[in-house]
Amino acid sequence: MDLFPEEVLLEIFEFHVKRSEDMDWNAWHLLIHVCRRWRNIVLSSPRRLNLRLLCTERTPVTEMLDIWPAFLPIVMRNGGEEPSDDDAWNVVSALERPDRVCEIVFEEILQV
Amino acid sequence: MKVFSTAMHGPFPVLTILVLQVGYRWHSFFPDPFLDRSAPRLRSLDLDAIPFSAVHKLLLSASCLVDLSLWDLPRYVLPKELAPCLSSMAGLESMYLGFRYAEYLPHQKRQHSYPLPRTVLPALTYLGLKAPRGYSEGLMARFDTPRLHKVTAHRSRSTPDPSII
Repeated sequence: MDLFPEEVLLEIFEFHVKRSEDMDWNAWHLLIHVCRRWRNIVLSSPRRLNLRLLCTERTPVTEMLDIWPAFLPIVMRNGGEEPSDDDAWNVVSALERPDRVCEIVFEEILQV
Repeated sequence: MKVFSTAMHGPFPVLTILVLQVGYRWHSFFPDPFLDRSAPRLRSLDLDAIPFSAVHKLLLSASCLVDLSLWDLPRYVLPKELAPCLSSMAGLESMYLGFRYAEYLPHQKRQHSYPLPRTVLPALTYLGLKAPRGYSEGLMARFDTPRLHKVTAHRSRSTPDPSII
């Protein structure tokens, strides 16, 4: 894989991310943990790979945003749990970055 | 909730999708100031049981909106109140308005002897309504929808108690 040019790797990464999109929003996380080269390629193509940080009410948002590059957009979704008071802090932490929030989706999730 | 009030200021410059369909359990998480801001790149807005007055500013700024769904609106919205919000939405393709109750419409029987100012929604293809009797006529008197080809309409239920709307 080291011999593949960057464009070829990007094609493969794009295929992987799109194929996983419905099941795993964080499919690109796997790629950046392979090696430094892959990490650089992924993080230098945020639009093409549709890189976004998924936050739920249970995500420790402040810690997560400290780890990832500041240019990545934030998607807020609820995880279907009953909201607690602590959840409010995570929601607020994400919404305090309005310049990065690209989606807010809070839907009623029916418990079967 | 004071924390929210201080956090919820300023525009959402990159927000493209906003869906709040969680009933009243989550409403305290998203109080009015949260929605009282601009979102110029918003393409899809889907809200449940949130008063029109709370999203007025948001709608005025959302000139890129493609899909608009306002479910279970707790209060009646006059078509003339809608017009300024929708006038800049040249790309609006789908709109649903649902009112919780069939409120009395004082203007229903009034006949206008002059032409009403009309707003053009050039891209609208779908209109869904759950509204009081006569609302759709009032709405269509205010809007030109040259590409509209699908309309669904249901009557809102009667108001059980005027004091709660």
